[in-house]
Amino acid sequence: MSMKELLEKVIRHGLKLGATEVHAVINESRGFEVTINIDDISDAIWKSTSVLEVAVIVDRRIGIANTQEVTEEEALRTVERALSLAKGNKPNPWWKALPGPKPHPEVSGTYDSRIAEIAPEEVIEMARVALDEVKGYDPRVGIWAGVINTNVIHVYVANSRGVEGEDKATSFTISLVASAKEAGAIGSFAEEIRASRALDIEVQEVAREVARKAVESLGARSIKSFKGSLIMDYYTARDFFATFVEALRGDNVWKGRSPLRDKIGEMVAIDNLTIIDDGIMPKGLMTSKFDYEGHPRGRTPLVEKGILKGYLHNSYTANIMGVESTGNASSLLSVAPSNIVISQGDYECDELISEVKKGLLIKRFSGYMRYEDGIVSGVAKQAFLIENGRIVHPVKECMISGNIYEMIKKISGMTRSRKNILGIITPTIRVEDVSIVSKA
Amino acid sequence: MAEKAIEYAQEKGAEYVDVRVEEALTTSIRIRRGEVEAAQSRRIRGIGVRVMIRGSWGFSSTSRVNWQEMLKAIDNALKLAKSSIEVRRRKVYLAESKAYEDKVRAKVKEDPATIPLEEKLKLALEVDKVMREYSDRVKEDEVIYGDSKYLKIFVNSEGSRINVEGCRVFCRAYVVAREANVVSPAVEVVAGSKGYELFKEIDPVEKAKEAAARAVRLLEAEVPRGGLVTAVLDNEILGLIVHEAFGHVAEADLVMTGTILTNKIGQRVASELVTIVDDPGPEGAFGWTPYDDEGVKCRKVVIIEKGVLKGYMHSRETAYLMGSEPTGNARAQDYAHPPLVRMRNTYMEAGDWDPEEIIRDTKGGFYLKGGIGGQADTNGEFMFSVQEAWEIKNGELVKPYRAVTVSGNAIDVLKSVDAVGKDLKVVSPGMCGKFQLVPVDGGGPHIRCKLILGGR
Repeated sequence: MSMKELLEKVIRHGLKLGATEVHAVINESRGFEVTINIDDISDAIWKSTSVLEVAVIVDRRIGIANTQEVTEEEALRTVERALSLAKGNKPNPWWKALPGPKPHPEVSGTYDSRIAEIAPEEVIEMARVALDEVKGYDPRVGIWAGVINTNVIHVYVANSRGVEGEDKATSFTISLVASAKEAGAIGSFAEEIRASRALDIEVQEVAREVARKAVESLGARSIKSFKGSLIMDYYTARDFFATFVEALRGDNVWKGRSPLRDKIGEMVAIDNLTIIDDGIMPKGLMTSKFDYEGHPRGRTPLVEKGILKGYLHNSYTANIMGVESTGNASSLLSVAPSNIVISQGDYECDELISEVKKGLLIKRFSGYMRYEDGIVSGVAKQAFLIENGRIVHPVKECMISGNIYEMIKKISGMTRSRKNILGIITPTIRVEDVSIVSKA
Repeated sequence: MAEKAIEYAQEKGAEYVDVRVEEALTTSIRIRRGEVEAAQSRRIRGIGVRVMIRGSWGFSSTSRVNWQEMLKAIDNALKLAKSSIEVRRRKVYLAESKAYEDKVRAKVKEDPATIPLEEKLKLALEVDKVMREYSDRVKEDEVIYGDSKYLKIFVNSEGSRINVEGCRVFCRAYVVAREANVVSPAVEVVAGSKGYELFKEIDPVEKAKEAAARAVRLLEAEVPRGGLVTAVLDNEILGLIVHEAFGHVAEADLVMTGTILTNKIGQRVASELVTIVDDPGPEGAFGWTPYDDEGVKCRKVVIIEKGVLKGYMHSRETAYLMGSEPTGNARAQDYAHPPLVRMRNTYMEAGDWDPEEIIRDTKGGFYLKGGIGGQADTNGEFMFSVQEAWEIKNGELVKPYRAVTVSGNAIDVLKSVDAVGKDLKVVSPGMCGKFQLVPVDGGGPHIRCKLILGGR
């Protein structure tokens, strides 16, 4: 039986047993993973998983069940488990309905048959290249931890209102953490994560870059506390914008957890900042034809020239707030961004630095950024002191504190070049008047 | 099928093979402020195969349990192992371990799989309701309910045939009371390797009410002045410190990368009143593990005996490297993950003090109860949030405090222990995350020590 037929059976069975609505999705994934630990391969893994998930709604009561055994008999039992949960659940007063069918967009660059057909030897070879490259770069550097991963995914979705869809995608990820020794102990850490839909990441280049970053942070010195410019490179800017976008999730907005509730049409950022959720961009890491509900993905302007334009929705939050779903369902009740595209600036990174009188360039941040109140508090892990337009020296751990909603209005420059860090396409950004607190 | 798989892999050149077959049925429910945010029933089922060729590992897993898929998984594991041989800098060897043929079943009175899902939801909703309705100063609450019934089969090429049937239940009630700018959180967890009967032995609704009452009560409490203090720790906060600050640094894989306990076997690392063990039991503890995921029969590891470091927790691989015996600490999250060195139930052994006597014997200090999370580093430095603190004056509890943290270095704290109670309890269940999530437990008796109290 095809997956499509299986889903149809599941839906018919649910309706027959008294469900008002039924939603079902099958996820099939398989791939390789090689993990590196302290300069050696630790595990070489092949994984293959199928999951069928069934959601049934009985008079606004929702129940969800899933199974890894995707056979007809078990699928029908899964419907029954979901139904039993739904019947025990209390009615959700805000629930309206599952989405109806809408045409799915065509997407491109999300599937690379070379990933689907890759041989295990090739993945091991990449680990070898990474280990050799880092070792050869500088005797002081080693790979502390790393993961090389390939994945092939097939998704099938259907619901009782006539939605049906099928999609496939591939992904390829290289993530390396390097450490560099100084006086017999670990003096610095650096991290590099690259992900793509195609087999187009140069492992050698990633390894060299992470080694370079680990070495450049050696010889860190303590600094005194000051208030000044903060340049956040791609990785830190990614954390920053990812947190900001949490406040634009429809579920966080209507539950009142987001400070950006009721702010549509207002200036919430500097006037040359634009943020788009783009679920259909070619080659996008989060690109797909449809979301969890089978609703078509799309492009949603969130912030346009500093003005708040909209929120991200699934059908549930869209119904509550009287708008259309933006195709951002991560489950029936929750919302998640797809690809987040931040507008580019007109600076080169050197130019961002050259204008700074006193500031900090930060490449890794460890701590928390909270969308609920905007609080940014944590430790700058790979940071460099800037004085009079020049990088002076790497800095020992110091604390950064600020507020996202204020910082985003104090961005004084963004780079032309952008990087795609796990689905957020962001430039390096410079923010003014940030408190940098010495731990010494 | 598992045995056929082993034969197939051996024919293709594997020197060692193990196969793990797992099946589990779980329920999970999350409720926030009266709203059911998730109610799910999950069924996990699959096979994990590990092969070794010339000191090199290959691992495969699949949820598609059929012979054709199995062959593909084994072929891939073999290819991964073979092509890693030249890349690996260090060959893997396994310490000797006896092969077992055994069937173990956890003692379960009420199988959660037989309890209707409606009843579990009803319980979780009551736990939520009792907290929400306790006071209008309760501003947030969250209930997480979970149960899992599992069957694990382990077969290896050395003749092991092990079959473990187990069951776990879990209910966590988290509550935050707020007034003006005072925020007061509290948490209670009822969990164990038991059936649904646990919720009849310990009522999660009563526990949730206690948490809400504590959160509200502490709104009025002051924040203490920080500094090095004499502290009496209860079973729960001690369990948290023993696991996070001390247990992890005694895991052999971390020991080899360098922790505060590296190269210290035979040295004094704690007061002579202190004995710390990692135990596959007691039965009913959340981290109950009769055999690990390498088929090693689990034994109690004495990490510290009367203050002296005696041993580490091992997998077969780390045991070989360090010339030790495997201890049954190689655990995997599920069939789809290879095992890692993990704790089970880690606790301090009982002493001979009456716990009330410890407080009566304390002239000045603090009585610290329960923990709400925190962090620890491999150098033994830790910081945890305490649920409730009382100032002790002349043997009496005189004043409660809120927002208390404790910090210090695990070794310094253990060296300062001067009284150990006889009331050993294993009461700190949780999911421990070290790349993979596994259930663990911890605890100990009441003890007295010195540590750094944080507050204002």
